[in-house]
Amino acid sequence: MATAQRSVPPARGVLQFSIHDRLWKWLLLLPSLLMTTVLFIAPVVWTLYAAFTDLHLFRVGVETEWVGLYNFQKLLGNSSFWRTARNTVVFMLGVVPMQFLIGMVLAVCLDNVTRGLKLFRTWFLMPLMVSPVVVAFVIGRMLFQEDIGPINSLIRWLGFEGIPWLTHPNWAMFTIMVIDVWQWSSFMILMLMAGLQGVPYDLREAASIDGASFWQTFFRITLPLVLPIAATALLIRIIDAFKVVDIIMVLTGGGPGQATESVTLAIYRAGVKGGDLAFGSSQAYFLLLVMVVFGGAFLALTRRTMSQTKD
Amino acid sequence: MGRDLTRRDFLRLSGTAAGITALAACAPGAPGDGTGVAQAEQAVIRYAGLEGMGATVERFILPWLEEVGYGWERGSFGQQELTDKIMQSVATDTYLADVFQFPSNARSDVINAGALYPIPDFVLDAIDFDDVLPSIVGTLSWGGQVYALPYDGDIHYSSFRKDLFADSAIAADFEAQTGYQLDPESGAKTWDEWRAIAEHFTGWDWNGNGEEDDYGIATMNKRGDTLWWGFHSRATAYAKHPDDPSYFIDIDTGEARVNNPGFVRALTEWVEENQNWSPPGGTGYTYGDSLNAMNGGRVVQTYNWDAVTTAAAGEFSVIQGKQGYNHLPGSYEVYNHKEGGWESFEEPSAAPFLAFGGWVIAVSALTDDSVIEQVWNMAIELTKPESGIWFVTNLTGCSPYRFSQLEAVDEFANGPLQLGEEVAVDYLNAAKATLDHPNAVTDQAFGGWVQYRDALELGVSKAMANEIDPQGAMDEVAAAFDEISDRMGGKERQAELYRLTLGL
Repeated sequence: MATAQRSVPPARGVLQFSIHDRLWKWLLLLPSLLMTTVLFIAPVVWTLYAAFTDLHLFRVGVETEWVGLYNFQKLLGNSSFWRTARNTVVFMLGVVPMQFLIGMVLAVCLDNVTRGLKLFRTWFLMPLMVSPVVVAFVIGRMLFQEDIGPINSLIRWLGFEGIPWLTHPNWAMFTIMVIDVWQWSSFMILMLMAGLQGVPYDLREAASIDGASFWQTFFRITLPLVLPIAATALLIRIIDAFKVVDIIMVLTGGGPGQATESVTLAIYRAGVKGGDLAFGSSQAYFLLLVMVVFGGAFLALTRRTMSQTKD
Repeated sequence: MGRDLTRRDFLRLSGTAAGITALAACAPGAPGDGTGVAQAEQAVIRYAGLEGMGATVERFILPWLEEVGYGWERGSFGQQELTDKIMQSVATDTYLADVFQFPSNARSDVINAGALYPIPDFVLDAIDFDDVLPSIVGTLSWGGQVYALPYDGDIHYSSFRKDLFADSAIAADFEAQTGYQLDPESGAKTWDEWRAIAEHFTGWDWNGNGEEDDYGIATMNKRGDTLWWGFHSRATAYAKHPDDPSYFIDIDTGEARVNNPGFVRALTEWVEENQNWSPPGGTGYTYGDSLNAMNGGRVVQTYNWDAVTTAAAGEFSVIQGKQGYNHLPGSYEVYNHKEGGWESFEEPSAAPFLAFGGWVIAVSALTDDSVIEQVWNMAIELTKPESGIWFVTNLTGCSPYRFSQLEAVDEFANGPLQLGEEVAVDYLNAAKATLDHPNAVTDQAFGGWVQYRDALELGVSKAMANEIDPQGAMDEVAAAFDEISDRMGGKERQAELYRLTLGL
C-alpha cells in the first residue's frame, strides 16, 4: 500500500520529502506531551515528593529533610483537618442534591415551555457568568449583612429577630450553601436541559397514549434516558464542591471559628500563604485520594444503575 | 509507512514554532538575562506595590521620572497577593521588581533571606534618616543594618466620640451608673473603662436616628481579615509587662506565651464585649466594617489604623470633627509571665500595639548594577522628608513615621485632609504617644509570621463563636505556636529571630 502511495506522483503543493509515520506522530504529540509533563505531571510528582519532606518556603538556612509519612500522620491526628474535611463533605452533601433537584425541576419546566424559551434560558444562565467572588461579595456580604442588610431589615420589619447569617456557625454554613446553590443550579439546568432535549418525544407520547401518568413517564422513561448526562453533571459538581474555596474566603474566611473552613482553604492557608508546602501537599493528596475514591464509587454506582435500568 | 509533508503541514509546524518563540519572548522579565535588567538605553525602574498605594506612588513619582528621563513599569497587586508574590520570589530567589513595598512584619522572612540591598549611607543621609522615629527604624533594620526605607508608620490607636463624652447629661448619667468619669480628652484610659463605656452606650438612641440601635464598640475580628491585629491591640495591656521585652514568645526559650492569664483575660473580655455591645454581625467584622460602624455613627469607640483619615472625608463619615484620639487603653493589672502572677500598678500600664508596623520600601538584591544608581535616586525621591509629608497628609493610607511629621499640625489641620486644628493635634498626640511609648509592642516579625497569624486567628475565632472556651482556645494557639516554631527551625532559633526583630 505504501508502495502504491509512493508511486502516485505528488500532488501540487506537496513538498518533496517524507517523514516516517511513527516519527510524524511523535512530532505532533511532542508539544502536548511537553506541556502535559511540565504543567501537570511534574507538579503532581513534585507535590508528592514534597509531602514526604519538611519543605518550607520561608524557612531560611535550614536544610529540607525527608520525613517519610510524618505529614500524613500529623494530618490524620489533626482535629482541625478533620473539621475541615467534615465541613467539606457537609457542604458537598448540602449543595449538590439541592442543585440537582432545582436543576431538574426547572429543566423539565423549561422543556415544556414553547414561548420565550431563549429568554428563560439566558435568565437562568446569568448566575453562571458572574465570578464567585463577586457573587459572594454582592449576595453574601451585602444582602446577608446582619446589621443593615436588606434581608435582615425585612425580617425585622416583619417583627422577627435578625438572623446571624455569617456569625453563627450553622447559619454561616447555610448561607454559603444558599449562595453556591444560587450560582451553580444554572449549570444543572443547562446540562439537564441538554439531556432532556435528547429524549425522543415519540417515546413520551407513546407512554402517554398507553395511559402512563406524568410521573410514570418521568421516572420510567425520561429519567433513565437523562441519567448518563445527569451523572456527568453530578460528578462535575461533586468535584467542584469538594474544592470549594472562593466564596468561603470572601464571605467568612472559614469562620466563625472553623465552622465553614474547607479542605482547599486549609491547603491554601498552609501551603501558599503559610509557606508550609510539605503539610499543604499532604492535605492536597488526601483530598485527591478522597475525590478519586468518591468519584470512582459514584461512577460505579451510576453504571450499575444504568445497566439495571436497561434490563 | 511514510507520509508526505504538505505545504499546509509545513506552515502549521512553522506557525507553532513561531508561536512558542513569541510566547517565550513575551514572558515576564524577558529583557536581559532574567534578572529584569532593561537592555534599552533608558533606565527602566520596575516597581511592585499594592493597587491603591502603588497608583498613588506612581501619580507622585511620574513627574519626577519624566524630568530625569527614567522609564517606569509598575506591577499592581492585591494586599494578600503582593505578600504572596514577594514571599515566593524571595523563597525561589527570582526577580519581582527593582523596588517594592512590603509589609514590615515580613522583614525576617525577606531580609534574613538576603533578598534586599542594604541601604547605603548616602541614601540615609539624603532622606534625613535621623528624623525617622526609633520604633520605625526598628521595622526597617536587621542586625543593626538598615535594609528598607520608611513609607508608612502603621499603628493602632483608640478613637472615640469626643462630642458625646463632653455632653454633661450623658457624662453625669454615665458616672452615676458606672462610677467612672467620661473624659472627652483621653477617652477610655483603661480597658475596664472601655468596657463600661461599651455597655453604657449600647441599646439607646444616642445618635438621634429615632431607633434604639446604637452600640458601644466595633472591632476588627474576622478570621482571615485583620483579627490578629484586633486581638493583640486588646491583649497587650494585660500581657506585656513593662520590664519584660517578650510578648508573643519568650525571647530566651522561644516557648509560646499566648496562653498565659493575660491573653486569656483579654480574650474572655473581648468575646463578651463583641457579643454584647457591638452591632449585629459585630463578631465577624472586618477592618472596614469596624471603621464603617464608627464613621456611620453606630458606635462610640473603636481602635484602628485609619480612623482619623477616613473620618475626614465627607463621603465616608457622618462624624467629621467629632472624634477624639489616644493611644490604646491600659490596665492597672498586668500579667508578669516571668514571675507567674498578676502585678498591680498605681497608674494604668499601657502597651500600645505597633500593629502591622507599616509598609516599607525596599530595593531588591537582584536589581541589576546598570540601573542601581537610578533606583537609589528614585528611592530617595520617594522617601525624603518633603515627599513623606505629602504621603501622610493626603488620603493615601500612609501614617506618620517621622519626628517632623508629628509636629506638622498645620499640614494635617489645613492640608488636603482638612482635619482642623483640634483633631490634628489629638491625632498627632495619639500617634506620638504610641510610637514613642517605652512599652510599645512591636508586631510579630520573626520567621513564618503568616502561620502564627493563622493559628491565632483560628483559636480566637473559635472562642468568639463559642466553639471553645478562651483558655482552651489559647492553649490550642500556644500548642500551634510551638509546633510552628519547631517546624521553622526550632524554638531557640525563633527566639533568636524574635530578639533581632526587637533590636536586642
